[in-house]
Amino acid sequence: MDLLILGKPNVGKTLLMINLAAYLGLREIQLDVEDADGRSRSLRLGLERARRELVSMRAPKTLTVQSVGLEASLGRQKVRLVAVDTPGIGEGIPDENHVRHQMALTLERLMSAALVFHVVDASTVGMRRVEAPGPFDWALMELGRNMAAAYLLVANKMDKPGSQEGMRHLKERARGITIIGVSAVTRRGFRDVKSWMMRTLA
Amino acid sequence: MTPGSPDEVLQWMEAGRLPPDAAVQMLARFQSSAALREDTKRDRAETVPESPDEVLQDLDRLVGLGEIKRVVRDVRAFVEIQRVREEHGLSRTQQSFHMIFTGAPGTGKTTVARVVGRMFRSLGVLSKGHMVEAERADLVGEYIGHTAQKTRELIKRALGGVLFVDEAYSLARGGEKDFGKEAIDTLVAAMENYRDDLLVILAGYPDEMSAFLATNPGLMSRFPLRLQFRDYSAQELVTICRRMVRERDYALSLEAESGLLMLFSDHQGYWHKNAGNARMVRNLLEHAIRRQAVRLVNRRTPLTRHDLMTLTWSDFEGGAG
Repeated sequence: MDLLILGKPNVGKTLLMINLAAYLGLREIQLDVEDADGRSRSLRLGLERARRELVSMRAPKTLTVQSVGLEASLGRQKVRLVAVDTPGIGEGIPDENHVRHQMALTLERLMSAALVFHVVDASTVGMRRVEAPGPFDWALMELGRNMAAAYLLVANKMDKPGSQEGMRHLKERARGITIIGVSAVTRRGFRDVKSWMMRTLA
Repeated sequence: MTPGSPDEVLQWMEAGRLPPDAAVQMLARFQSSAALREDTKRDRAETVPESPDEVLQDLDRLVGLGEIKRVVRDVRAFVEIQRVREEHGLSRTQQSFHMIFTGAPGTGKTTVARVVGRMFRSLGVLSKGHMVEAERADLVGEYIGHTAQKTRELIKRALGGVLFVDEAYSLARGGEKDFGKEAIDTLVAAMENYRDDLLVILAGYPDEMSAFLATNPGLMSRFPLRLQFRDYSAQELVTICRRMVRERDYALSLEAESGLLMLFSDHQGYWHKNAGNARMVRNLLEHAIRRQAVRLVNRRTPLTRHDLMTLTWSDFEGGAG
């Protein structure tokens, strides 16, 4: 079963994926990394190393990587978590062929995933930054609303200043959508995410 | 003009005719109408289809298997011509493609079965082209009624793709009272019921398979395609070994290569039944890699990249034991 984690660059998808996997009980991570040119490789990393290599506090680290995946178990079920970037989405039609191709692939994956985490940065709502929620996110929420149970809006970075305000704004926009505030760094809200997964998959 | 289906939305976006956020909005609209929801579900199962030629290229990359490659090509030609005939309003010859693969372990049966599944998918004969591997224990149950249920569940999983039954002769092992017979009957019934979207491949050692088929005359006619996987020649085994070595970022020294060729030719035709072929090459290689590590770790001189990559004959000598 696939869990797709998607959102703009630098909203914290990869760290969310790694820390959530750890929270679900994973000690070592078998990562399947797919580059932007479609090549995939498999890496086996300890948790610490995975965080160090794949996550950074600076600019989008996952830029050269199209998707990162790992397998965790939830109760008796095996869940494949896949984090996919949606870089540049929302700013008109991208020029490069391969970028458009990647986007099409991402949306196709979105339609076929069993669970979708749409990650937004709650601390930058309304700001002019790459990671701030934009038109693409609003459209995706619309799609999520119709996808019913399988879609979860994850408002990340709730440990940062301004996130409460952003969360209020998101909640207003997200009427009828399940939204959970988390912090991938402090792992706040993970318990809610887990019980949402359990409920949805039950 | 607007796209008429979720698929078209993706195509338009990919072609640069739609900005991504508008594409997502449209997908949302499609998703919201319940009637179309079923359609997208069907679309979901389909990823970008491969072309038959791409699949055949993968088949060609496999070492040896000349006869098998030819048969697979024949099947492809048959299916395509039948389709074209139909387009011209000519009648279509119905044929089932269930197959029997005979050969020793490690001669490529499973690998080829996967390729065959993908090929039928690319030709539009199977809807998914995936493969479900099964052996006796997956099909045969422990009490009355259990077998049919187990077999049916497995078939359900294989629908749209290939059901690959390894060591199929073991289904006839226990004689008349054995549940294996029930599994065969259920399988045959399913092959009739789902003739358009299920491919069954039975595999096993040549001798046991012929005995198995002889005791089940009805089976013979239901599996029109029989492929024989011969043991690889010594030269082919060396080629396989060289590829495996390269995949692992190693290289064979010249004497290692000629040593292996000698070893393989000496044993030609005398492989122990369960240790045969490509799988044995892999074991041999993995053993050599460990032995190379031992050889290098005890050395005092600094190690070069070349040292780290090269497997010598001394690493192989003594076999995989």
